[in-house]
Amino acid sequence: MTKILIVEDNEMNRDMLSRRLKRKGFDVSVAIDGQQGVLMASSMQPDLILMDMSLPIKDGWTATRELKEKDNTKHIKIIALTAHAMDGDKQRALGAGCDDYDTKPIDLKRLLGKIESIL
Amino acid sequence: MNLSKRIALSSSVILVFFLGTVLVFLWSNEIRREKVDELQATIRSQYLISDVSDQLGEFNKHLQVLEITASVRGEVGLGDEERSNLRNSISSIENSLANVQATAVGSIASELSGTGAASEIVTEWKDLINWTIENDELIQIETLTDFATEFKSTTDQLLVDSAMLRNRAQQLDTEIDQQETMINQVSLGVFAVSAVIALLLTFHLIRYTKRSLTALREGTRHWSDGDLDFRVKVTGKDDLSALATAFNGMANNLDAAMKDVQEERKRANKANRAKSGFLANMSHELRTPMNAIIGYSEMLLEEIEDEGSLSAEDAQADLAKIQSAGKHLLALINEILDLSKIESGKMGVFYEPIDIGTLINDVKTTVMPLIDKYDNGFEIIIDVEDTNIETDVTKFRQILMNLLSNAAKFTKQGLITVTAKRFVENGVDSVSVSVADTGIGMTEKQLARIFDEFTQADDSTTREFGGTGLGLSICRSFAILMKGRIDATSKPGKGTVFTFVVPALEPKDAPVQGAETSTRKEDKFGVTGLATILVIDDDAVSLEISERILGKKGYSVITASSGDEGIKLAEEKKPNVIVLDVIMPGMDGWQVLEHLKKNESTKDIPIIMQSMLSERELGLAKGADDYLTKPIDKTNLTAAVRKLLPDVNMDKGVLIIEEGSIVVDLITEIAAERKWQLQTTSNLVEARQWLGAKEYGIVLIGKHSDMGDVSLLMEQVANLPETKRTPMLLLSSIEFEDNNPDQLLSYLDIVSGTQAETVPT
Repeated sequence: MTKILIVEDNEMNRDMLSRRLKRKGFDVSVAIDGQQGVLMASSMQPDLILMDMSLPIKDGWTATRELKEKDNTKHIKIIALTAHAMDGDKQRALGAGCDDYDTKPIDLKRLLGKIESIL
Repeated sequence: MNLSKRIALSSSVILVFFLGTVLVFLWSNEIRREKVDELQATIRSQYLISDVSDQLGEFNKHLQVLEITASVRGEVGLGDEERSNLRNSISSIENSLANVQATAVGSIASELSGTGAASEIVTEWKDLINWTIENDELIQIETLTDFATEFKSTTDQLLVDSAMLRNRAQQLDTEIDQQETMINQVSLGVFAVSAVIALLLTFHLIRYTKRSLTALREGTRHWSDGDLDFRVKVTGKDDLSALATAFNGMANNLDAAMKDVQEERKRANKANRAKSGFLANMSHELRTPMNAIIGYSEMLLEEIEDEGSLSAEDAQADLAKIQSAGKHLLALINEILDLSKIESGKMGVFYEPIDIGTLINDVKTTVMPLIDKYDNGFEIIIDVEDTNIETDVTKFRQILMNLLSNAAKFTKQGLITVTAKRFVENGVDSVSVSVADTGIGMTEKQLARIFDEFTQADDSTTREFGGTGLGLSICRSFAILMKGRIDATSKPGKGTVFTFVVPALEPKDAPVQGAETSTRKEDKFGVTGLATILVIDDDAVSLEISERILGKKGYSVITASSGDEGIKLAEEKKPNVIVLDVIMPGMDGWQVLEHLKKNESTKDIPIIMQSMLSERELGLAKGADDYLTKPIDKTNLTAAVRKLLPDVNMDKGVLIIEEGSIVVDLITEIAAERKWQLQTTSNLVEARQWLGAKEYGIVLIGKHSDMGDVSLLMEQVANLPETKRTPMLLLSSIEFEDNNPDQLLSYLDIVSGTQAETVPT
């Protein structure tokens, strides 16, 4: 079963996304901030991380950079999920090392398509 | 010294030296002529003397012949022929001698001893011969010998004279040479001096001009390179210095204009950045609740699809989340609308009297559930003697509500205290309301950003406590709109105190009560009393466009966003023209039109209908005065409004009501030029009489100590049938820059609709 780690600080979004992905047959874990996200990624070795960018303690960009620098996590695919949908936000996310980028509100079909193609 | 004077002076100096040279030349010519004349006379004398000498020699030969003849007989007689010859010779010699005397000039004439001796001897001879002829006597040989001796010495003397004359001639010749040399030297000297002075003057002139021009060129180079602080050094008071001063003046203006532009650009950039930031933030803020709404509803749908049904319990929690996110979104949108209204200057302040205790208790009722949520104590202290205040109740309530809900959100099992006070601050009767809590508090850094848009104490605040981050920003804008302020003090862990202070009564200098106030610059020039236009439109954008177009023309514009509100404002404000949108929810434009035309107090107000549909005929048939098709066209709208407004015809006469003479001073010249009749008074009773007796083109109202009575007069004039069409222009609130009549003129032009698109600023 594909393991997905959702790093998202907004409770509603976290709850919603995890439930929907579980329903689609993914093994979903959640982290509520960037720091926790990095620790969990390292310990549970997910196949994919869905990373919110505006996160407390350690933001998504920093977390992504750290994950992509560490040997035991750099292979993990990361899709940035952000409500920042202005020009340049995508560049910024990809620049930090994300493998793909999607905007909120989440279009589940689109997101699933991206997950499929990236894995 | 100015340039032309310098040139004139140099030319004069050169001319003087030139004249000097000419004088020297004439003088030298004169003295040379004298010398040359003398030289000629001397040479001539010398020649004549040698002639006399020759003649005397001839004569002596005769005497020698006579002496030889006499040596035989001791005496000799003279024949007729001889006598005649001798006489001729003598008279010839006498003539020559006379010539010598006549020719010799100067001191030398008296030194010629030979000629004197020759004259004597010739006279003696003449006498002797005459004597021999008369007495027919012989001449003794001794006599002849004596004469011969005498001739000899005379001839010698003549030789001496001749030599002397030759010397003199040589001397003169030398003198002439010397003189010529001297004259040449003097001329050369004078010429050289003139040339040197002329050169110096020219050089000075060129150097001076060049220096000034170089300085100017240097200046223009600096300026074109963008160094507008550079100034040309102004040294004197001449034309070039004046030019330099003019250049400096130009640079000053350029500099000022440039700084203005740069300032403006900075402001524009800053505003642009703020706007972009705002948009980015807004996008983010709107997406977050949208995400929840769409996500949860999609999820519910999926669950129903997957499982065929859904238990009420399962659905309830998710639906509650959708509802909560929806409410949050609505709050956001409302606040964003409030902010945009404030920003575009459309947020008005409506004062109404209210008891401050009642107001605070009202708010308490609303927020009590929030306060109770975390078991907080609540206390209200009304430390005010006179609780009757005038304020914008809606805004006051919103500020207080916001502060209280913040306090309730961030305080758990603490105490929230509301304290109201009334005091005079800077001469203004003010009320302050402070909301103190014993909650989590803020650091100084957090406090500094708390009133900025979309900021909360920190990003996690939103997650923990919700809120849009716009509330305090709006509170602050409201407080400023109400000519007040809002401050906060806080200590982390101890609690926070927010205090807002607003005037306790409606500010006296506020425009006509309830009229739209605005922060836009044009509104400073609001034409009170001339024309008020009411625009009724449910579409905020159309409303804003119409308001902007008409506001720019100098009209005071009031707006209503629904038919009901429009009718209420029309009755209250009696606008001069109403612009009415047709398609509106609730009461539509046709119903509003019907209502207004039926109502006694509003039936005379001209109405312009505006609609996307072209139903002009229908509109006019239903009693509209004009009909415009949307989208709104600036030219059509202003033309339609103008057409329905009373004519401002200055030729009918201008009545100026003011104390002092600011307006009169400004307008006198223009009035004379345009042949307007001016009448001016500071006495309001007199003004009223005049207005009753005659129709004026316009009434200009300047500064008056009793503006209350002025308003009363304006109201009366506006209501009396015979004067209600007389336009009035209240100028007292306008600051005329440097008493510039052009500003007033362009202002009058706008009022009379003759020209000018924009109001001077």
